Amino acid sequence: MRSLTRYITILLIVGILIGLLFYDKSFILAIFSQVLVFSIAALGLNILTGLTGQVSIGNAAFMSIGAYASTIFVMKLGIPMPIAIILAGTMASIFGLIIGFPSLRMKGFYLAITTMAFGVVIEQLISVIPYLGAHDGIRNITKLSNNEFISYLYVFLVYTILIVVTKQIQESPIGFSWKMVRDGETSATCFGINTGKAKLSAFMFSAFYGGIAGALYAHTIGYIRAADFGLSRSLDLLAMIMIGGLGSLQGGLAGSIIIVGLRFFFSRGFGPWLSVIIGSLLIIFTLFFSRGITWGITINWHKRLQVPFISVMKYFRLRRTKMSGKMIDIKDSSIFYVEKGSGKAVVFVHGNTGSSRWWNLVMDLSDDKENSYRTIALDLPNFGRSKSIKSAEIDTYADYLVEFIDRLSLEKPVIVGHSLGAAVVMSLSARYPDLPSAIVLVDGPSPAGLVTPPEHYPVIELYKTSRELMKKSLAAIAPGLNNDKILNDLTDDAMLMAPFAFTEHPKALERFNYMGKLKSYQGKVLIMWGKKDIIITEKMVDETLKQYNRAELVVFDDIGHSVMVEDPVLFKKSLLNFLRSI
Amino acid sequence: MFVKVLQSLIFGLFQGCLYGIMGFGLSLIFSTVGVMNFAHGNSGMIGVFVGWTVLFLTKNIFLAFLAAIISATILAIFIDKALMKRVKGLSHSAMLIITLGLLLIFEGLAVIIWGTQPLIFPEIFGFSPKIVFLPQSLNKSNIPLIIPGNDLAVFGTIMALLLLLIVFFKYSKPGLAVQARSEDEIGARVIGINTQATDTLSWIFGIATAVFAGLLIAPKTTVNPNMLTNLQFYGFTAAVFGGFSSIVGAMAGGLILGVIEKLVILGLDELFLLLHITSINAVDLQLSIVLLCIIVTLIVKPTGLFGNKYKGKV
Repeated sequence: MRSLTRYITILLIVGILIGLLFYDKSFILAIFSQVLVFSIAALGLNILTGLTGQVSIGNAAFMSIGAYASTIFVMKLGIPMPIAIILAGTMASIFGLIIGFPSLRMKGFYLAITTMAFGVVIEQLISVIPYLGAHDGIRNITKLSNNEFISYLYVFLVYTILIVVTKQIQESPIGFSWKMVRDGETSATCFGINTGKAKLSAFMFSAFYGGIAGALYAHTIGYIRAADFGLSRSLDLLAMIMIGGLGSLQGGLAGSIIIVGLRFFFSRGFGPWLSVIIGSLLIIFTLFFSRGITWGITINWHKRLQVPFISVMKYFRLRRTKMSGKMIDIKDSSIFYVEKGSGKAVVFVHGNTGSSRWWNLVMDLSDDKENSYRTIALDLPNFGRSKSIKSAEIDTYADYLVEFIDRLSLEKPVIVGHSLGAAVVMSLSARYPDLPSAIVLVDGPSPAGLVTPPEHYPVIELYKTSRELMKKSLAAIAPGLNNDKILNDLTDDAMLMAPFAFTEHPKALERFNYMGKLKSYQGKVLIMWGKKDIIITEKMVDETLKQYNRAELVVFDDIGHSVMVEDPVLFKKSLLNFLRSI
Repeated sequence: MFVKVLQSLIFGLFQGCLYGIMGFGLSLIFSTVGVMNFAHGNSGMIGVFVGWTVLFLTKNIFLAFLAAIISATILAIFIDKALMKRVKGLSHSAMLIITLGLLLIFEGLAVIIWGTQPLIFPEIFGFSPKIVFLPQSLNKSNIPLIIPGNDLAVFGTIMALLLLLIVFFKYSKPGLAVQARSEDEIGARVIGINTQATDTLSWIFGIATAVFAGLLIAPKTTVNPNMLTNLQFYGFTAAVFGGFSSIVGAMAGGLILGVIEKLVILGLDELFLLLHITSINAVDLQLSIVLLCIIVTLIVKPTGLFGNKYKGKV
C-alpha cells in the first residue's frame, strides 16, 4: 500500500510539473493531452492483448463509440460531462462484450481479422447515420475546459486513476485469470479458470478504457469524424503497446509518445518524409527493443546502467572497510577476518553472496558470564574483502578454512556455517573430523547437494550487475530483517563477490555430495532452520539430521533463511545453549 | 432479376480473383513466417511503380512486368534477410511492428519518388467488352449481360498463375519444403529442410504475387501510393475466410468474397428501392455487410472455410 501511494504521488508530481513547465504553450499542452488520451486507449488494448493475449486490431472502434456517445450525451441530452464520460465508457464496454463473444471460438489471426471487421463496420455505420453527422462528423464539441492547462490536468488525472486501477486489477483474481488465459488456455481451464468469462471481462475492460479515451478525445479536440477511428488508428494503438512493451503499464505511454507525440513534433515541414521517419523509428525501436521499450530500459538498468555506480562503490568500500579487520595470507589468497573477545574459539563462515558482516550482530558472545569466547568471522576467498582465487569449489573453500584455523592456531574451535558456508563446514567435518569440537549448520543445504533450477541462472547472471536485484533477493532470503541500513550494507558486501562466482556457487552446490560420508564425524552437530526459509526445505534438513551421528535440530517459527540477521538475540540464545552443552 | 444476379456473379468472380491472389501471398507469408504482413499492399505498390517507370522508359510491357517482379524479389530478400531474420523467433509482435514500419516507409518513399499524382497504366490486354443478350425465357426485362473482356483476361491470367503455383507447391521440391515448413518448423529442420531458405522463398512468392495483382489492377486504379491499400484489406479477409492451411483456400475465399460483395450491393439496392430510402448509398454499407457475413461464418467455423482444426497449446 505504501509503495502504491508513493507511485501515485510521483506520477502526479511529474505530470503536474511537466504541465507547469509548458503552462503558456497551449499547443504543446494539447499534444500532451493527445498523447495521454491515446495512452489510455493503449492501456485498454494492453489489457486485452498484453495481459490476456487476444490480439485486436479494432480497438479504435471503442474510442469511436465512446467519443460519439459522450458527445451526444453532453450536447443533445445535457448530461454533465464527468457522468457522460463514464457512461460513454460503459457504453463502449457493452460493445466490448458483444465483440468479445466471437473470441470465445476464435484465436490469433482469425480473431484479429474479426476485430478489424468490427472496427470497419462501426466506422461505416456511423458514417451513414445523419444523426451522428454522417461523413462530416460533429464539430464544436463542448471542451473539458477552455484553458488547455486545465484540460491537460483533467486528462492526466484520468490517466493516473486508470493506471492505478489497472495496477490493482493486475494483482487481483481477474488479472491472474487473464494472464493464465494468455499463457495457456487449456492449463487455465485445468486450474478452474472460466476462460470465457476471463476473455469477456478483458474485452469489456479494454472497451471501457477505449470508450473513456474516445470521450476525452472528443472533449479535447472538439471535432470528431468516423474516419478518425479507422483501421490505421487501431494499428497505431497496436504499435504503441508493442513499442512500449506488451503487458507493461507505462508501455502504452512510451508508445504513445513515439507514435502520437513524434507525429505532431514532425508535423511541420517534413511532408512525405514524416511517414518515412515514423516508419524507420518503428523498425529501429523494434530491432533494438524487440520486447518493448519498458523491457529494454529495465534490462539495461539491471545489466549495464548500474555498473559504473557499483564499481565506484566497490572501490571505496574496499578501501574503507579493510581497516576494520585483519588480513592474513593463506596459500595464494589473502583472507580478511574480524575477531572479538578471547577464550574458546568460535569461527563463523558466511554463505553465498555473504561476508563476515553477516555475523556482526552476533559476534559479541559476552552475554554468557560463565564462559568466554573468541569469535572470528572471515570472508572466504572470492568473497568480500578476501582475495579472489580461481576455483569456486566447496572443498577448496574448506581447505582454505582448515589452513586459516591452523594459521591462527585455534584449538578445537566450534565452527558455525551458514548456507553455502554450512556446506563448507560439512565438507570440513567429513575430511578433518578431528579438527572442530562441534559444528553448527545454519540453514545449510542437504549433504546431497542443492539443485538450482536452470531457469534461475539468467537472473543470477543479472545479480552481478544489478545491486537492486541483489538487494531484493537478499531481502527475500532474510524476510525478518527490517533494518534498511543493514540490508544495504549486506548488499554492498555481496556485490564485492568475484563475478565468476555468482553462477559458479550454485553449480558447486549442485555437485556437492557428502551423502554417507558424514558418519565419520563424531562431534556434536547443531542444525538451525527457519520455517520461512524459501531455499532450504524441511526434507533437506531431515536428510542432514539423519546423516550425522550426534545432530540436534532447532526450528524457528517466524524466521527465514538467515536467522543471525533476522533475529540476532534468538540466534545467540540458541548458540550459547549449544556451546554450554558441549 | 436472373440477369442481374448473373451479372453480379460475373463481376464478383472477376473482382474476387484479385482478392484471392492477394490473400494467397498474405496467407503464404503468414503460414510460414507467422506474421500478418501489413506492408504487403505497399510492397506490391512499390513493384508496380518500378514496372510503370520501366514501361514509361522502354514502352515494353514485358520488360515492365519483368522489372516489377525482379524488384519484388529484391524487396522480399531485403525484408527477410535484413529485417525479419533479426527478430524472427523473438516475438511475432516484433515482426508485425516491422511490417507496420515498412508500410509507412514504402508509402512515404513512393510519394517522395513518384509524387501523389495518379499515373496512368495502359490496359494490358485491350479486349473490348462483350454484350450478350440471354434468351427471352430467362430474361424478361431484356437487360444485356456485360462481359468485360479485359477483366476476363485478368481472371484467366490469375487462374493460370494459380495453377502454376499449385503445381509448384504440390510437386516441386522447394514448394514442398515451404509447405513442410509451414506445417511444422522443427519437423522440417529435422528432415533437413533449410528453413531460412524456405522463408525467403515465401517472402519472394508472397510479394511477387502482390506485385502481379497490382500490375493487373493498375489500369483500373491508376498507379498511386494507396492503390493496393483496399486490396490488401480484402486480401486479409479472403485469407481468413478461406483458412490458412490450404493453397487454394485464399483464392476460394477471395472468389466467394467478391461474389458476396456484388450480391450484397445488388440486394441492398433493391431493398432501398423497395423501402424508398434515398439518403443512404448502398456502397457505403457494402463492406460492413460483407464483413458481418464473414464474422458469422467464422463464428460457425472458427478456422475459415477450408481450414484445419486449430491446434492450441497446452
